[in-house]
Formats: sequence, C-alpha cells, structure tokens
Amino acid sequence: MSVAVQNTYYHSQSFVTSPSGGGIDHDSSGKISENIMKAISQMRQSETFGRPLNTMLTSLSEVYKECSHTDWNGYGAEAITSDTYKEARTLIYALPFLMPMPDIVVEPTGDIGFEWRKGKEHVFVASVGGKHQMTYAGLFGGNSVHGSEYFERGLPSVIVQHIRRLYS
Amino acid sequence: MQVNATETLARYIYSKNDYKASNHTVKYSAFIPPKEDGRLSVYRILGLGENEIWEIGEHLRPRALLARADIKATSVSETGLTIDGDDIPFRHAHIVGWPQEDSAKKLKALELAEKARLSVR
Repeated sequence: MSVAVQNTYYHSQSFVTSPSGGGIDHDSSGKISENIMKAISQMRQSETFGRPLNTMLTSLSEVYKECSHTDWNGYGAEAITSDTYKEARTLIYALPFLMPMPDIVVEPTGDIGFEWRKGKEHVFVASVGGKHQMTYAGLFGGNSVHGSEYFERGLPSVIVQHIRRLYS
Repeated sequence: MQVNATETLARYIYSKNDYKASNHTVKYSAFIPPKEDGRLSVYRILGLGENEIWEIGEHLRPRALLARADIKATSVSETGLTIDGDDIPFRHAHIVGWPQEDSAKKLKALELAEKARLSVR
C-alpha cells in the first residue's frame, strides 16, 4: 500500500507550499503563487515526486471507502468522518518531499494514522482525527515517545524530528 | 480470573487494515481498545491446536476472519497492562488498565503490536 523512498535526507519543502505574500505587492504575490502552483503541478506529474504522493492519496481514498461505515473492524469501530479524511489529505500534502512514505492505518476511533517503520521496534505513528490535533507515539529501540501537537497545514517540527530520528 | 504468565492470547482480526501480510506485521490499530469501555477483547489459546484456535475466531463475528495476532501474557504485563480473564464466553479475556491519554494508549498498542506474532488465515 505504501512506497518506500530510499533516500533518508529530507528536503524541507512539503508537497504543497503555501506562498507567502509578505514584503511584496498583491499582484506580484498572485503571480508568484500561480507560478509556484504550476511548478508543483509539474513536479507532481514527475516520476520522482508524483508517484509516491499519488500512491498515498489513492491508498487514503481506498481506506476512506472501506472504513466510512461503523464497525468496519468487527469490534464496533467508528467510521472515518469527512473532516478526518480531509485532514489526512492535508497531512499527506504537508509531508516533506524526500521523507519515506508511511503506511496508512485506520484506528478504531475513526482517526487516520500514518506509520513509518524502519524495523522491529523501530516504528513511529502519528494520527489525525479532524480536530487539528496530531497524536503520535514512537518506539526507537529501547526508547519511546508519545504526545500530541496542533496541526493545521504544516507538519509540526516535532513530528519531523521523530521521523528523522527513526531513520538516522 | 487469573491468567498464567506462560499463556498466549489471540486477538482475532477481521479487517485488512489491522495487519500487513507483505512484511508479516500486526498494525497497532489491532490493539487499540474501543473508546466506550477501554477493554480489548482477546482469547486464551493455551493447549489448543491451530484448527481449534481459528474456529473460535470464525464464530465470533458475522464476517470473515482474516488473521490473528498472538501475544504472550508476559508481553502484556511488560507494557504495564493487565489481563482480566472473564471466561464469558469460554476462554475470553480482556486486556485492561489502559492509560487515559490517547497518545499513551497509542504507545501501548504499538508495543503490543511489535511483540505480537501474525498468523494469516
């Protein structure tokens, strides 16, 4: 379901960049924004960047269909809501370009999780539930972490640091 | 009811979301307890043959049994959780003692998934 990108060095740019208009006039800002979106669109169609992103979006769409009704796991699981689905899409677009692509895992609470796995007991997961909050947990050999972070558009730096730690 | 440390527990899996056959891993989602009661349903399978173990899971839910995650009772204890063997129905137990915080719960589920052994039907 996922595509692992071998390069472990991450570009700081996400799949979508929010153009900032700070310090320039509105028209210039609009043109820059348009150009950036055009560049991103071209990049998305490339083999290198487009395929992992599209694979992730397709996987997300599939799990949304499969788990958009209650009791999808036989134990009374909650359905994925449209808010959760939209937030998961936002998170996918916010992933840095060269970050290894995670597996998508739906939780019985209806939250959508993203799992990065390096090997046995080296795994990091972060989930969204449509409430602008990411909940995460990770195992790094003998060490572990867990917590939550506010999430709206950009991937919280704490999350990026933990994923880097996993692959370092 | 006391569950012996040497026993193995089975968590039956009815959704392909809860495991990954290609790398033979159990996903942490298989071990996240339901919100309403925070009790994770498992079965004690000590002394049973493979066919008998699968048979229990096949009759529990009105859907296809896809896999199961076996975990040792000692592994559950190591994560700080406890096992409540209620025997209703026969051999049934719950993994209880989950923390309130969602992220802490996720970490426990992750630990259990890492220690579990996947069997695909």
